Amino acid sequence: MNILIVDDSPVMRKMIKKTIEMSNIDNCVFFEAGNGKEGLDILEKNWIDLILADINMPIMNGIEMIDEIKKNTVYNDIPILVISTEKSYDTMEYLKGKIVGFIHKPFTPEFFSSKISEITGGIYGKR
Amino acid sequence: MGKDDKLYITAANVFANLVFLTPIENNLKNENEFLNFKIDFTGEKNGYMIMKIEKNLLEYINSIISDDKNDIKECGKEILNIICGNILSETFTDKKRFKLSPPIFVEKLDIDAYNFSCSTKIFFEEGSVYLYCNLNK
Repeated sequence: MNILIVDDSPVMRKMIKKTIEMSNIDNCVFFEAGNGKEGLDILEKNWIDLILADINMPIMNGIEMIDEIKKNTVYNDIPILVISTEKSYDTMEYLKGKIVGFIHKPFTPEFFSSKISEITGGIYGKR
Repeated sequence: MGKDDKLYITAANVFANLVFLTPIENNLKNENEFLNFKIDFTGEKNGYMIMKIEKNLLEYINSIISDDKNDIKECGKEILNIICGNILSETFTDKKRFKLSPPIFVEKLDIDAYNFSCSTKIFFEEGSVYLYCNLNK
């Protein structure tokens, strides 16, 4: 499973990777981007199965990146999970229908595992 | 529940979920060097949060998250960012939008120069953390 992590904090990207590794999700290959623009560049060049995106980032934020992804017919069906400290009603309403879920920081391996299982129909993660 | 208790519970949950740390009642060890971090927020209310965390504790947390010792300050910033995001969501409703500024490392902190509406301290085996929050600027 190729996972793209888009977060401006390198430490948070490490934290997400570590949590996924602890979630017993096998055969993960991680791609990392520090903002939405870098995320789009990686999408252009690589096969990605799941995108984990932060909202607040410099240069191009998570919402702008998601809007760009949804406009692109090649990869607009890649599932996107938003991982953020932000929990605002406005943001969640705006993203409804564009993303498959919202993970609020801090997250646990168990929560990640069940969310990824839900997204992949049980192929990855635990039910 | 008072603001201090709410801050304690929210922060303790962040440490438990993020790095599996459970608070202890009291830290009988001598406290060592502290590292300080600050984050500002704007929105329904403006304010700031300051975290004073014992270096030993932050080094331990960083070792769980990262294999690079140099990430320690970034790790502190990220923890404060998460605690602040959570306390704002807990204190106000999810319908209120807040903008968090990027957290900063504060080299020298004069804690008396700030006003706080709530504060708490949490003890862990690995060290202590103090949190101060101003929600009423």
